[in-house]
Amino acid sequence: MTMVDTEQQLASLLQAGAEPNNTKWAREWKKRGGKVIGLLCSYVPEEVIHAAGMLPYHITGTLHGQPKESLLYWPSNVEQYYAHALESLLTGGLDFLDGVVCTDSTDASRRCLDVWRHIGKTPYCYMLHVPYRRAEVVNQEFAGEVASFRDSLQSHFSARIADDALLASIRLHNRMRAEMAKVYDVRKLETPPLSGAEFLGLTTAALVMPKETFLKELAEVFRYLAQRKTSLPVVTPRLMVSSDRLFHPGYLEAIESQGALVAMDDLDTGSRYFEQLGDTDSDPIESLARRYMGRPGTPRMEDWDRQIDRMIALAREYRIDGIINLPQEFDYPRHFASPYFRQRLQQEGIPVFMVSRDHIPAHIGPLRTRVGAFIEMIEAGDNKSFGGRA
Amino acid sequence: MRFWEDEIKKYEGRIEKIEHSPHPTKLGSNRLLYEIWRDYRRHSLAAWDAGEPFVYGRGVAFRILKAMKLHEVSVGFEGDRAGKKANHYLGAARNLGYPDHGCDRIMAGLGMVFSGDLPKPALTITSNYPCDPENQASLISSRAFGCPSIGVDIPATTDDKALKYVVSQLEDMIRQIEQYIPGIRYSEPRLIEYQGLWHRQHKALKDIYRLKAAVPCPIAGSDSFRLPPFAIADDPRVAQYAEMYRDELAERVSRGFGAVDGERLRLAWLVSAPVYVDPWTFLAGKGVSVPFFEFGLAAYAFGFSQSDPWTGASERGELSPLEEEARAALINSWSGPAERRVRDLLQACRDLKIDGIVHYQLWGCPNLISSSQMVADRARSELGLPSILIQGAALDAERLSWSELQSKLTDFIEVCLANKKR
Repeated sequence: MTMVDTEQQLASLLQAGAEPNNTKWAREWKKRGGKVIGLLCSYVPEEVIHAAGMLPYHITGTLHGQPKESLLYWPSNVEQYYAHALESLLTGGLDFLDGVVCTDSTDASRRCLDVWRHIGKTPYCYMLHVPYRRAEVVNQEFAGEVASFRDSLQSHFSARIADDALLASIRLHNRMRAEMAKVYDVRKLETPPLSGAEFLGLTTAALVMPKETFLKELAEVFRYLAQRKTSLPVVTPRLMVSSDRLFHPGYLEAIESQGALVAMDDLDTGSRYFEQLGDTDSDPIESLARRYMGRPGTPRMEDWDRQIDRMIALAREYRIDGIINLPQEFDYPRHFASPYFRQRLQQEGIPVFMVSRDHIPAHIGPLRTRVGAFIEMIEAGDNKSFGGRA
Repeated sequence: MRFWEDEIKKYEGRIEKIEHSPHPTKLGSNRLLYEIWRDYRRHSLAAWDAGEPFVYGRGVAFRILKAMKLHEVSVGFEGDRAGKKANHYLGAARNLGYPDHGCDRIMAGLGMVFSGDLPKPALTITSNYPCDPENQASLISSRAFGCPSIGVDIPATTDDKALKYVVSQLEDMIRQIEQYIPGIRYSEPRLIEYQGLWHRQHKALKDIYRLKAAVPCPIAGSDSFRLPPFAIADDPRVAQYAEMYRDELAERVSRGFGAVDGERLRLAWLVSAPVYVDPWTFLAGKGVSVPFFEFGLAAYAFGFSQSDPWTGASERGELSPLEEEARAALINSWSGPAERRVRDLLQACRDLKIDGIVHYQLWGCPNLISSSQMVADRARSELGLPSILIQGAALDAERLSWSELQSKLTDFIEVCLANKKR
């Protein structure tokens, strides 16, 4: 394969999470007679769905225009990821779904599933309870939730989810996570192969493609990535972006367009998606419970200090000059946690900047101006050498 | 002047007003309610001045905290009472970076916390249900004051497994509190005593609920929203107040007294209400009574929960004291799936002969805003009831003007009257 072919292959992989590609694999799966289950939350253990022989598909929501059809159920002053997800459902973009699974990880997520169920277009709707604490009793509770979810899938779809299949699925997902961790390692380079926006394209590809296909396509471009250099004209300052349910790379493109590199992310659609492997030496249900409860959490979880410690560690490891907190407007757990996050990060000497965003790029002009000012502040400030720059 | 000192003055003023010029249709039992509140505030202030420990916490543990002789502060509950100082407190929270569009009850409460108008917590109790902002307020407070935070995770289901899970966490919570706060000890006999007071109160509340079904409705105006202060679980006068309230309604019903002249409509009012204006007198003036006010624990308090597998179990002695507390934490109508809220609400609409539903949607409350339309759809399809969805705030008058609210309510009354004629 020539370099041009590989570049094209990479470009295609980076566009997998974008419209209209993002439903391509799910539709093909369906055409082959398979079942597709949509996920509305990163706490759903997708291994259970995979082990049932079904395709877990992370719902990105519409990635263009403002929601119209879903407005009746989901007003514009409630987190808009769910509005866009419901818009996809109501406009026929998710007619291929055999089921949808969500959690009660936030008020908005559980209500989205309630509305989904009420609309009645998807035959199977399931909600898992996700504890918000860390404790052994909580892991046991979540293991019970995962077991009930498995039972429900088996019973609704007359499927069999054996322990062996679950373990195989955990191994497959571990492989995907390990490969992604290797790819993320190259973000430490002074000039990484991809921009931050492109990295988000890669992780969202993993969210919408069958894992086997994703791994195969990733393997084909992996070596090429080691030689490639991002086409961004400027690779400093090095920024980290923190958010939840960010699928659209447009925000990262806007940040990088101001003369910076998004060198790392703290996203549940990014590094948090694949951090922490599942244990393959124990009961698979308990292993899944431990993995999902132990992975880096969202601000809805009570362990804020652990979340911030992780960000600080990543900032050091990836030589980050500043952090941009990008809460979705009306994402209350993140909004309420933000002043404390800012305080702690500033105590560590990390410049931090917060700006609210929509689900799809909107008000990009003011965002660019503010990011530009933040970059100037970093470049002029005492924190410039934070973490040391290569 | 500290906020609670303001509160004491407010209640003293109300008591004096009732003494000198009692309102012809308002309940006489209100006087006792204000006395309870005044004394509670005095007691809390004295405890604050004496340096006694306060726990910021959630309703999930309020009786247990009382049984440990601890003083409890609920940030949202305090925020509700911000009154004329609401803008000051909202501004204080916004200046610290909390969301401009967040639930104003929580925002005002946080403003009080950071203005030093509430005592610092010795520890905080967190819980995921019924809503994120309340939980976040406890997490914020523990970080701000560097105190421990103890979590009680509430599952979305109501079954014996869930009950056991919550009980185990309550036991752990008690152990941790005893460990963190020197000299504090849990007393089960004291919890049983307070549960006994609750059972007395609950019995009266069930009667009140039944009496509100009378046509015409024996209660109107702001009295419709008056509730015994459940959180003051250690004061026997709270049960006494509920009984007085019940007896007054029973007397009114026995003589066919309607608190609204020429009652034409009966509305359910959901979620929250603007405290900066008085829609109740406005509605009463149009012949509209409001027999039902929806809050998360309404179905538990009034005994009409449709998701409570343990109905009557406590009274029959089938639940241990901590199981009884776990049960109360589990069956909140606003927790878990929206189906729970729908079923409880429709039951109340049937029981209380409701003609229409006002969804007063609180900005910053995704839980209830985004379940409103499905509640409205179900009320229409199952009971033929119209609904109006109004977005507003409890304290922040900028969100919805009085004239706009009046105009929406006036139009909705016409819709309900037309619907009733069909």
